[in-house]
This record gives sequence, structure tokens and C-alpha cells, in this order.
Amino acid sequence: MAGLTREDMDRSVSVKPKQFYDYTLLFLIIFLVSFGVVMISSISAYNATKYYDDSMLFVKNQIKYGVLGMIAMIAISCCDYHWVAIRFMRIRLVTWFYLACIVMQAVVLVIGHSSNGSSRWLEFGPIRFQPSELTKISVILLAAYVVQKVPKLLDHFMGFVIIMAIFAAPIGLVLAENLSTAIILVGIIFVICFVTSRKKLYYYASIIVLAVGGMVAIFKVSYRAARIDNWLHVETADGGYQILQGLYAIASGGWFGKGLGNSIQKLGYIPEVHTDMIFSCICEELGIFGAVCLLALYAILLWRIFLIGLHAPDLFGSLIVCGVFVQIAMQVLINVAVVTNSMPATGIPLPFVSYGGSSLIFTMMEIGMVLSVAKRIDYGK
Amino acid sequence: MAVTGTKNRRKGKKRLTRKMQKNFRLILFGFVCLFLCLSIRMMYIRATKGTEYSNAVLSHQSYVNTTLPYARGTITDRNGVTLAVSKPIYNVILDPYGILSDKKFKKPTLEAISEAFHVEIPELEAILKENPKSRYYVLRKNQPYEYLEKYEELRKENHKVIKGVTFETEYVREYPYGSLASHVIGYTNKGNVGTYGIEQYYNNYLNGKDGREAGYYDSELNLIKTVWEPENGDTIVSTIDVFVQKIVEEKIRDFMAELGSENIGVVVMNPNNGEILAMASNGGFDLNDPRNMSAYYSEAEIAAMDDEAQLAALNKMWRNFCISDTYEPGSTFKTLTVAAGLEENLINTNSGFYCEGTRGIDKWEIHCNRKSGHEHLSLTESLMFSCNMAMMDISAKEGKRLFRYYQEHFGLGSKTGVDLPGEAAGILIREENLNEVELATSSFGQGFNVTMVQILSAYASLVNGGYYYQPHVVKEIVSRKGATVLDKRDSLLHCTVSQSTCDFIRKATYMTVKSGTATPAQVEGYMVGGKTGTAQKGRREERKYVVSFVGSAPSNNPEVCIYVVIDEVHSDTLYNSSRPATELASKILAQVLPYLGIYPEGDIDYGIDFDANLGDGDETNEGNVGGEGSLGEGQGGEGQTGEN
Repeated sequence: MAGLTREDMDRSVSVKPKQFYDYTLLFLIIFLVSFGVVMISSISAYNATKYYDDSMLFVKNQIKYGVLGMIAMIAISCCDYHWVAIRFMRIRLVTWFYLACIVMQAVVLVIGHSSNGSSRWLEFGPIRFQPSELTKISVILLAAYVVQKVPKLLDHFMGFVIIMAIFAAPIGLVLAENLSTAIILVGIIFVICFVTSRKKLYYYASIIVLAVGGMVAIFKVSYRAARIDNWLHVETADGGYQILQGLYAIASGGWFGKGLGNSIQKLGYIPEVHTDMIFSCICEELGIFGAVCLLALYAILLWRIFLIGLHAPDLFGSLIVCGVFVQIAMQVLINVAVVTNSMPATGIPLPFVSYGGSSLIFTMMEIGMVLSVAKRIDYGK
Repeated sequence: MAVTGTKNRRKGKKRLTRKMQKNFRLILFGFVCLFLCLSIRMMYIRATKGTEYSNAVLSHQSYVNTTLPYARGTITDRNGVTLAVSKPIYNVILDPYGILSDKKFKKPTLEAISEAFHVEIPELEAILKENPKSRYYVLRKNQPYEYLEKYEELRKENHKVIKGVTFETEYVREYPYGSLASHVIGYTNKGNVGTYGIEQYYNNYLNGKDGREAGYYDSELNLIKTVWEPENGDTIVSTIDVFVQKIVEEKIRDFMAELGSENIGVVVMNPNNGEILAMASNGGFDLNDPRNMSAYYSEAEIAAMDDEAQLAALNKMWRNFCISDTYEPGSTFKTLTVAAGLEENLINTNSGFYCEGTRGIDKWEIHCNRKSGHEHLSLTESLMFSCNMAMMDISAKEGKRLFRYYQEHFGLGSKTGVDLPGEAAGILIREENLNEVELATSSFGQGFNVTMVQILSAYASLVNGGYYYQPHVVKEIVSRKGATVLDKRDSLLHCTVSQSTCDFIRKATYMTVKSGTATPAQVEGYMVGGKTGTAQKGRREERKYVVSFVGSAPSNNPEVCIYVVIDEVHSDTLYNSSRPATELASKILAQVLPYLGIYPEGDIDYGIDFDANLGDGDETNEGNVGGEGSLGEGQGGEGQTGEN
């Protein structure tokens, strides 16, 4: 089976059916980002005033990022996702992209060691971003590309191992700085393989093996054990402060919340309240009802992405969409699970809602990729 | 080769197979299930921990919550002299836990405390040792401000290591003049509850609103503080003049030492606006220590009292005789009887009367103060010599309806509305019970009860041109910011008599003092006008008398009115004489008038041509109502049944 050739691409362009643009998905994203801005304006005002003397600072920044992300998203959606398969100096763009990400991850790890604690960030002049966000995109693209090339390989366990081996480098580099992002990367690759594979048994088996192995690793390694201890004894453990304050917020909000702007826990009690912990204050202000509505909104978004994946014109497109789907779903899941103390604490932003430029812009770019795939759908059928 | 759909094969393209779609669906289903689990998890948290965690959040809100007390308003006299003031005192609070939290705090802190508050270091160390965990220990109460300043000074030099001392402000009520005007000012209970006097009557104005300091600690233990400043109470400017009050109380004390009586009350008033300059009685108490009865009882007596007796004694001491006690006014009321007659034109200034000494009405015999009778009298002379027969003639002309109307017209029988608590209304005889005898005795002030302020206000209206002003002890109320909250200057209630009646009363009362029954009230160099009163009280055969004098000066244009009432003079010779009252009034006026800027004059021709030989000036034994006659019992019965 040949890969996507230039002819293929030309043909797909030439037989371009009626233009389809998924405005529903676009609207969902705009809605989620706007909702995030509103919540940030309520939740971040106290800290912004206290530390920066400008209550609207985070709101202004988030709007800026949102606009940038919107431009990037629409620009990408207008591109053909097959362009990543173009060869440049005999190596495909997707591979270049992948290699560049590995380099950046390595660089950020080294610089991070020297500049104490800012290891997740990389600076290019005025632009500052988290390369791990970029790595997620490159892994989605390369995994989708590789897997659609040799889908039959995945029918065997060794095939799965080979694919994982390809991505060992970025996973390892990310793992060194950020466990949760590494988990998401593994999740993306795993699901892409799982969807393509016709044999399921060894996946289930490997899930069990991984889970047991993970448990053992976690409980054996002392610093992780402390994290587990914080999770299991959140009310008494010293390290449970942030999560406990988040739980206070969820429980005190009640069924319908204290009302927008009335959160008490946002007044400096919850660290990272406008980024990773924003969901706890959404619960406090809008109640369990509001929080479940937000989860439902994410479910609708995922369903929409899922539909695009199902109807994508080719396997490559389907798998890209699948990767984006998994990434967003896992981020929401982990974020909410951490906030509700359903799993040990780890720092993952809530997609589109949490404050943060890298996260917002790159996630919107991924949606741009999804929209690009959606655009290729033969609407006629 | 992968088995792909025929369409895909035709296009040469791989697409998602059915199997793959199924897998993808499985993934979607898995995530949606997990989302549901999380939703349930949130509800579970809410349901199981809702109350506990909500309380935890609430506890964030009120870490600090202190009441900042307000200062109760000041009471001053008419010239701004402070009569009552709330002064801040400071309590020193130690935080032993804070002091012991770092080794380097203890020594400099203890040294600073010791130096500023004069506390021995061993004592401080003992406190720290006994209460190492305490965060609130009251070290000293009621410290002067200078000590605080000293401490703050020391702390400024070394603020990094001197820690753990805070201050609380409290206010205590102080009365700089002690017992002066105690009945008018009143005292305070528990700091801010006014009891008696202005303190009680104007309690709402005097009290302010507590302030509050509330705050919470944020996650970094920074105190986010909100302060609501306390609103201090209003300042009350009283009409009392400290100097006049002092003179009055001094003279009362002299009198009590010289002769003594059951009760004595003196009120000095400005007749032109109803302002009371002084109000005093033989009672009175130390406002700074209102339960101290040592001025009236020996320690043994106090110890012997049971609770009830003690309370009764205290209430007697606190009672303001001048407004709360009623008595039969006696002859001072005659001015009102005459004024009413003149107003109704039933008599005129040239009317003549004949006094036969004793007159039988109904079954009773009523005597004049001179049993031989005054024989022919003019209207002026009837007042000068306090002739009962003339008054009976006038009241008979007035009739019961008019008489009763004028009693009420002059403000008797109802509260004057003086701004002090505990005012009595007095008791009048009802119109239907005002028969010939009652009307006759009422005409010279027997048979009904009045209070001092009632008679003084009515008398003031007779001599000031006919304007009845509501008597009052508060001039104005000023807020702490300087705005006038209440102005009592407009206290005119109604007009009582015409100018011509006023003119006659002025002249007649002047003549009474000049050569009538009230000559001891004279003050050299001043025109004093006035009327004496000698009333029998209670059962007539008990021969107990209330003697009084109501007067004004200068009589041609009064600026001061004075009313002296003495209940049962402790003297075998003067018990039924108005002399003690007139003399007391004279002594007070002699000092008060120059102070008030009313200066003595030489011989003045007042344009009054009275024959000075008309009376023989039997002023010492004027009151003789009832006397030994059979009238005695009857009158007593009337006096007691009163209004009923």
C-alpha cells in the first residue's frame, strides 16, 4: 500500500466536493473560549490586583491569546492537512516537525536545569511557549501518519511496541519534566493504535499490565508515594492543601453555586486558581449544575470531533482527528479528576477555559487541524 | 493489504473501516462514561462533605472581628463647660504566644513593656511562663495615653523585635463636677445606658454607633482589613449654667445646715425663652458614684437596710424633687387667679375688695391669713398681703368653668414637657367637683397639686409679656461634625395673658417684695418682684407647711425667674413662715444677677404711686389657711381626694 502521493493529493483537491465548513465546531470553540474569559475575569481579579495591580490583566491576556488562537485555527483549517506529508530535503515535513520538537524538548530540559524551575518554557525573543504543547501536535501528526501507512502492523503486539518505540524519545523527554503530559502522549498513541488495530485482547492485557506496573512504580518511588499519600489523605496531609481548598470550593458552591463573582476560595486560597484549578471555582460560583453543564459541553465538542473522525475522507485524517479527540478528552478528564481528588494531583489545564497562552493557542491549532479534515469531507455522500 | 471498503479501494484511499469506527465509538463511549463518573463524584463530594467544607470556607471570612467602641456624646453647660464626657481608656493586651514564638523577641519586648507601663519584668516573665499558648492576656486596664505613646516610641526604634502588645480602647463616663446638677444630668449605667436626667432623656442622641474592624487572612497570612469607623454620639449643650447652679446648690447647703427641711427645691429660669439655668434640690448624688449614699446615711444605717429599703433610699436620692414631686402651691397661685380675673375683665386694676378675716362658705369657715381681716383692699394690695378673701371673691366671679379653664391654660394638671424623665402631671380638682368651697380654697392655691416647673413656667409667662415657653434644660444638640441636630430655641407654646395683665402683675409682685409679704426677698439695688406661698399639706391638723417664693428680676423687665419651695422647714418658729424661702431667693439672686450681667441700680422712680402705709407687713405669718378652725379636717379631706 503506497502512502499519500502528490498525485493523491492533487486528485483530492481536484475532486473537491461542495465546500463544507464545520461551523458548529467553530461555534463550540468560540463559546468555550468566551466562557473561559468570563470565568477568568471573575476568578483572577483578586490575584491580578494583588500581584500586578491590574484586575483585568489576565483577562486582557487571555483575550489576546484567544484572538491569536482564533487566527491560527482558521489559518490552519484553510490548509490541507496532507501538506505535512510533503518531502523537504527528502524527509517529510511531519518528520522534520517531530525532530524539531525532540530538539526543543531537549533544549528546554537543559535550560530548565540552569534557570531553576522554568523548565517547561522556551523563549524565542518575545515569544514564550511550552514545547510540550507543540510536541503533542507533532506526536498526533506523526503517529497518525505512521499508523495509516501500516495499519496491519497493529494487529500484532510487536507492531504496537514498534510504534511506541518510535515515540520513546519525546515521551522520555516530556516525562522528565511533566508526568501528566507524558501520560497524555502515551494515551494519544495508544488510542490511535487501538482504533486502527483489529485485535483487542493484547491491548486490554497491556492496560492491566501497565496499570499494575504503574501502581508498583508509584508506591515504590518515595516522592510519588508522597503524592499518593496526599491524594488518599487530602484532609490531613501537608501536601493536600491545594486540592483540599479546591474541594472546599466544590462543596461550598452547592447545587447552583454562589453566583458569578461570589467565590471566596478564589481570594488567594487556591493556588493556580485561574489556570489548572479553575474548575473548582467554576463549581463554587456556578454550582454542580454549572460544572455538569460544562462537562456536557465538552462531551458535545468531543462528539462533534468524533463525527468528523468517522467521516474523514481518509484514514490519515481520521487518525489525526482521533488524536486530537483523545488529547482534549484526556485533558478534561485528568483536570476534573484532579480537582475532584479522584486521582493524584498533577498539573493539566482545562482546554479552552484555563488561563494560559500556550495551552489555548496550541489546542485551538489542533482544532484547526480537525476543521481542515472536516473541510475535506465529501458532503455529497 | 487491509480490507477496506470498496469505495476506498476504488479511490485508492484508506478510510476508517467499520471495525475502526467501532473502536472509535468505544473510546467515545469510554470517555463519556468517565465524564459521568466525574459528575457523580462532584455530587458525592457535595452531598457528603457539603456542610463541613462550606463551614471551612465561611471560617475564612471572619478571622478578625473587633468592635470599635464609639464615644458617648458630651454634655456641656450653656457656656461650653463640660458636665459629662466619655474619656478613652486603654487596656494593654499581651500576646504571650507571639512573644515566645522567636527567642529574639522576648528580651527587648519585655524591657519595652516594663519601661512603658511600669511593670516589673519578673511579673511579665511569670505571665509568659503560665500562659505560653495564650494569644490574649489582659496585662493592665485603664492605662493613660502617655504610656501608650511611650511604648509606641520604643517600638518604633526597634520594631523588628518588639512584638506582641496590642491595645483596646474603652470609654468611661466622667462627670468633672461630681454631684453638681446631678438630677439634671443623670448618670449612666454600663457605660452607655442613661439613667435619669439628660443622660436618659437624650440617650439616643448621646449614643453613637459602634464601629467594626473585620478582616480575613488570605493564603499568605496577609490580613485583608476593612474598618468601619465608629460614629460618636452628639454633643448636648444644656441650658444649665454651671455658675448659677453652683450658687444655688451652695445656698441650699447653707440653708440645710442652718435650718433644714424635709425637701427643698430651687429652679432658676430665663422667663424669655424657658431655659432653665439651674435646678437643684437638697438631694443629689455623686454622678461618678451614683450608688454611694454616704452623704445621707451612715455606714451602719446602710448596712442595716435590706435590698428593698436600699432601693427605696436610692430612688429617693435619685428623684428630682423639682419635676417629680407635687404639692399644693399655696399663695403663689394667687397671681394666676388675679391674672385670670383680669383677662376675663371680671375685675380691673382699680377693683376693691373687702376682707372680713373669716368667711363662712357652705358649712366651712375659711380664714384669711390675718384673722382680723384686711378690711378694704385694692387689687394690688390683695396680692401684696396675700388676702384669701379677695381671691375667693375673684374665683367666685370666674366660676368653676373659667377657673378650671385657666388652670389648664397656665399648664397645670398636665406635664409641661420639660426634657427630663420622670415629670409628674400634678392633680387638679375636676370641674364637676369644683363646688363653692373647693373653688374658694383653690383660688389661693389649696386643694390641688402642682410641680415646681408648672408654677414657674406659668409665673414666667405672667411676667414676660404673656408668652408661655416650654421649660427645657437642653439648648441644642450638635453632632460631632458640628451640625446642629436639634434646636430648642423655638419653645414658645402659646400666649397666656395680655400685656396689660402682665404689666399689672409685674407692678403688683414688685410691690409685694417692696412692702408686702415678701420683703425678705429684696436684693439691694435690684427691682425684685415675687409672691410668697405658705400652703398646708396633708391633713390640716398636722400643721405641716410647704413654703415657697416665686419671683422675677428685674421686675419691670424680667430676665431671671426663681422659684424656691421648701417642704416642712425644720424650725419651731418658722415652720409656717415663708421667710426662709424669700431669704434664700434673695441670697441666690444677689449673686446670680450680677453674674448674669444684670447690674444693680440706684434709686429709680418706677412711676408707681402706692401708699406705702397700706400694709403692716405681717409677712412672717402669712399662711393661715384653715388655721385652728373647723375647716381644717374638711380641707384636709379635699386635699387628699384631689382630682378623684
